[in-house]
Amino acid sequence: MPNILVIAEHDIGQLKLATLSAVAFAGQIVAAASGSFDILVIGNNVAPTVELLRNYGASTVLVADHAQLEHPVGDKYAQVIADVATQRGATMVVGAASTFSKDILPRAAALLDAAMLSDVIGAHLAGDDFIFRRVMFAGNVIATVKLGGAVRFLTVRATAFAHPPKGAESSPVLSVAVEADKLPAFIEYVGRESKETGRPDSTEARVVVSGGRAIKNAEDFERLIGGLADALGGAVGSSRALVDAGVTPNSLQVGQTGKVVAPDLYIAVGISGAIQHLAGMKDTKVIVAINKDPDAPIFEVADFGMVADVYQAVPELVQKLRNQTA
Amino acid sequence: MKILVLLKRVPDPDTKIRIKSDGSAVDLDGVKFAVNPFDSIALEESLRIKERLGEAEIVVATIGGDECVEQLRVGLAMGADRALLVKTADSLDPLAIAKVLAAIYRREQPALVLMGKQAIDDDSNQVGQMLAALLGIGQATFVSKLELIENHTKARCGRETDAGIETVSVRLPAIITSDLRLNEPRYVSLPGIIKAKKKPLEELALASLGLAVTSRTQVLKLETPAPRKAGVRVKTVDDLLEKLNITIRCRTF
Amino acid sequence: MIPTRETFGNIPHASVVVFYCLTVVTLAVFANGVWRRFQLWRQGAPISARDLLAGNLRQIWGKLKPGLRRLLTEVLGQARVRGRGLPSWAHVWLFAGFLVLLLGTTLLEIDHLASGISQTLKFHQGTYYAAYEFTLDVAGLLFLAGCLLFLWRRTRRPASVGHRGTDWYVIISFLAIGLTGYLVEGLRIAWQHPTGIAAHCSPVGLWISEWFSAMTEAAARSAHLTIWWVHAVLVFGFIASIPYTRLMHTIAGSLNLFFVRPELGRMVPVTIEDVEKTERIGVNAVNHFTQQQLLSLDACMECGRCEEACPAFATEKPLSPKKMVQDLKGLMGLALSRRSTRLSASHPPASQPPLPALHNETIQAGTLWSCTACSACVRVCPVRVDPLTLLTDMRRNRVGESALSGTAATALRRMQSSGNPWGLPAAERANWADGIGVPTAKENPGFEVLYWVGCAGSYDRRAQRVARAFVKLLKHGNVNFAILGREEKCTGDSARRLGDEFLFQELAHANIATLTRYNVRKIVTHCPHCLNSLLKDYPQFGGHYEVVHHTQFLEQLLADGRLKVNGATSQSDGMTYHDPCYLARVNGIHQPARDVLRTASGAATSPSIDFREMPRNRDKTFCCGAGGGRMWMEENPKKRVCSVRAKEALDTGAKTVVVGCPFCLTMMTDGIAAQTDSAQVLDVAEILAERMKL
Repeated sequence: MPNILVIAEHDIGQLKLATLSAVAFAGQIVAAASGSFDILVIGNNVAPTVELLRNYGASTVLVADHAQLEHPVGDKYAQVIADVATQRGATMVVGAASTFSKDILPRAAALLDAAMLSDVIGAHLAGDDFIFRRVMFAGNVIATVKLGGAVRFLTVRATAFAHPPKGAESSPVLSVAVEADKLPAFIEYVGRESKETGRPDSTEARVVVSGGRAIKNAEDFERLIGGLADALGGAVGSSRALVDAGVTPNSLQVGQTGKVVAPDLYIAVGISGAIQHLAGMKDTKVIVAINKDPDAPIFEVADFGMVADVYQAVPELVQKLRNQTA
Repeated sequence: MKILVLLKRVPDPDTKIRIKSDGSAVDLDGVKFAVNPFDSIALEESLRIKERLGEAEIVVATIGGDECVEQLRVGLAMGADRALLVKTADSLDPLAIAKVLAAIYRREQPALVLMGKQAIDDDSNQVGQMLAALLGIGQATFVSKLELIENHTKARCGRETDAGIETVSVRLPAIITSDLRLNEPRYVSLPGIIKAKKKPLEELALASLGLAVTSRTQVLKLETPAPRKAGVRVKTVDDLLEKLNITIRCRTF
Repeated sequence: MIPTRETFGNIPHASVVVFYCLTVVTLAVFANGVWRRFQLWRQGAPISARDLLAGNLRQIWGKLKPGLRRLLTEVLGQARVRGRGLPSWAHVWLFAGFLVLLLGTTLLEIDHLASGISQTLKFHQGTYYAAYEFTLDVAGLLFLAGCLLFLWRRTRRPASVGHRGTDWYVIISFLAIGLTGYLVEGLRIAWQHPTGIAAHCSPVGLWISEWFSAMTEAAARSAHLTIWWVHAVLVFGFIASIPYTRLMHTIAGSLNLFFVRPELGRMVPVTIEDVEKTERIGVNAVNHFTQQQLLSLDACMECGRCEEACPAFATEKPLSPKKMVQDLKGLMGLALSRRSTRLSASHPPASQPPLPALHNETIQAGTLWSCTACSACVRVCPVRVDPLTLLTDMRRNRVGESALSGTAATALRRMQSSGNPWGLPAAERANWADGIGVPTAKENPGFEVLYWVGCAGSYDRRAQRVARAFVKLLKHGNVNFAILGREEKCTGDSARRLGDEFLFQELAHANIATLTRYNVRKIVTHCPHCLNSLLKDYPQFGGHYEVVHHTQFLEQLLADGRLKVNGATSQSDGMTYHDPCYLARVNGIHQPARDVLRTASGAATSPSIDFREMPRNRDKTFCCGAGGGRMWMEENPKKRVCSVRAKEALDTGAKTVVVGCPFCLTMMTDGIAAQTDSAQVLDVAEILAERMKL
């Protein structure tokens, strides 16, 4: 019977919703094979986060709360996770596939001589054990794998596991003792530079909205392209034409002499689709194009295309997206 | 200062990956191989450190069969001083790899280990962190800015995280894994590889390291996701919005 | 009186002796100077000049003939000096005048020596003398006219011309030589008082002698001697100074014109064995250039034509072919002052500071990567200096030493992994032809001509339209053709011009194997870069094909009646054609496109085509900016080469800009779209296909 430890992620007191995907995964495992799962929250003054996690069916919400754990430094957190997993007899340790989990969980796994699977998108019971599906080759291959060992670590892709609904029952909370003087001190947190605009970088974002020659000036770029990117939580990019025209800085250029991006979703607004640009985004999963020229080459590569004036279509789209999330 | 750079032989990043019809493995027919791009970035960084310091020994190492010599030569051509191949025909998972690398580390005793954050075939992003744990040393992952400080006893690293760039300072020796924006590696062509033939390349059988490593991961099947459908033209913004929602909500994986 | 004059007349014997002594000294200084320059050239890689004299007489003649012909047409005939307006005239006059005067002086000396042996051998008299004196007087005027024009031009300080202190010395001493020559003649006539033909055969001298008519004979003789000495000393100075001033171009330039191998678009291959032996590829020290290349550095006299023609220089990139050549020349000359016997930067003389390095100290990286390999500098140089090959030799070394990174390097990596510079799947190379019935060589092994599509035609959606238009024309003309399809790989032209010689050879070998397998003899392509590579690069590796551009092929089909254009069109929009560098300049092909466009507009039946030529057309065409691997590199957005050319095209008032190359298609489309919405860019094939309603 699986005994799962879910590692919660939070940032300055805000719970990261991806945690709920990890919880959902744990719930699926437990539903299929019985057993139970705990949620572990590590940090400093994390009571509010703990409260948020009490209604998702965990048998216990464990709290490792200590000043030394204020920042998620890999060596300390990995040690705490390893210790708690051992104490609780966990057979599976799960986190959402975020930079937080990717930094910490493998280290914790090795401390317990446990093997690990990254970017799991599904699991099902086959016989008496689970078989997992995970993503390889930048999403171009799905592997079905078995993982052995007494303890197994996993990170799961948040997009593959919908958040579970809140339940009526409240999980008990248990404080975990933290022996601060036994925590490793190899890594020192220095600081963080938050992204000013809050927008991710196009090379790392899941969604990129890019503007082309149809955009007339910097204000329109911010309003239309920036607006659409923000509505989708994505990054902005631009074609060479706008850089040449001085509308956008070179750092936004996507293309063969600019950035090469591989997001899940690329929306090309007013971009013709010349090969110099396509060379920078050819590995995108889904390409959407909005352009008023029905013969623009971009439509030949786009999964969805709309022939329209971008100055009409984009504001409408942004408005409707905002209404959706509201 | 000795820097150990770990690299992996992977299919060329531009290869269109095909799976064999029985789903057992990737179809490698006609596939070209390259040094994992993240590892090239790690090696480039080590070379820049060497250029800044004026002097350093850069050792590149990998685990695999004879075919991996090609990638080690590329590493030597870029500027590494020495290469090491731990030969095995076994397929090893990240924890097993980390154990072998730990043995290499103990043999070389470098001041710093640089490697890519993940290999573009497996995409696990585990080995560096596991290696650090096995050795009981510090780690800095997804690094896009690296500076040696305090008389080279520490490394100040900018890490690419979901929330922004986080700066940490890690005591050396440590394992540092590189992210895309750390640098742009220099291009190596045949003349460089020819010159590099003079540099020492050592081969060690895995068995000679005296480790017992087995893979706990077993691949049962490989498949490619559904192929891209032909492009669809939508007429209204509402239609477009619907398509976007579907895309975002149930992205292929 | 038989027209003649006494050589060295009025010159005392002692002076003549001193004169001859000074002649010897002058010639020694001159020879020493030239010898020292020659020693510098010899540092380079040998060019097996002795091979020129190997074999039987017929073979030797065959090898020497091209060089000799160039000496005749380009040195004596000044063929390459023309084309620049005022300075061309100035140089031709100065050169012609000087040559005649030099020849005259030589003949005079021969006569002097001959008549010393026996008076019967004297020929410097009579009709010969009269003709001689007259010719020299005219030649002197030509010479002076050239000098004055040059002097005037130098005071205007044109931007592209080099300016050094010694230039003033040269031009002013030339003027002085010319003027004192006439003064000497005038004074000689003043004391000699010749009459009749003997006087009138020197019209200028005669006119000048009137200024001295008031002088007594003694005074005239005295003045004559003085000015004669001034003239002699000036001439000695000039001769001695040749190796130390720009005048060296007379010798080095002539030699270079003889020894050069002047084919545009040609690069010299390197073997792996060469690299293994020397442990390097390309040039990273000045003595790695060939002896002929080093000689050519001394041939350069900073005229600046290359700089004016260079598209990189025109867009303020850090490349001036002239400056690069001069910098290399300076580095070469440093060895002279160090008195070292080896120029290699890796073996500096022990007791002296090392020579500056070639790369990054003498020639900057930015200089090397700015070049589009358009060959305009090579075409325009009057002494056939080849800055492009100097540059690509240096690029080869940079690439070999891993000094190239960034987007161009990414393109190279992608060429190697996928056979195209965008890294798109090789298996998709023939997808553009799906459903339009294009046979592959495999399916149609009996094809007559192979259509080489190239990477752009295969993968770039805009260029695919050109390929499809051309295919329609081929099928309509019932041409038995085929494509290689997925088996085609990048020709490697960009790789070779960027300096990655072995990547190029890898691609070339693969393509040649495929072409051989299908027994390909004739190739048609719409890409001039592919054309040049297949035609000039591939024979070096055993691939010999007849290669034509699609405009040539279409012109032939039209001429043969296999394609017909019906009726006329009043083409009122204005059309101009941008000659691709690699077609018009490097391979001399520019008329077929024009003929096709004319025919396409029905101009045969009614001459209504509104066709305008850009100022820089045909082999003088100005680059679009994509060659030399620059397609894959960043440019300052405000100073793009394509913008300069687009403006030139739009300035003709044309609304349709026609191209014949997929690189030009991309660049001109970008350049034009940035300046106007109302002009379009189309390929010749697209225009013809549309005109024929295909």
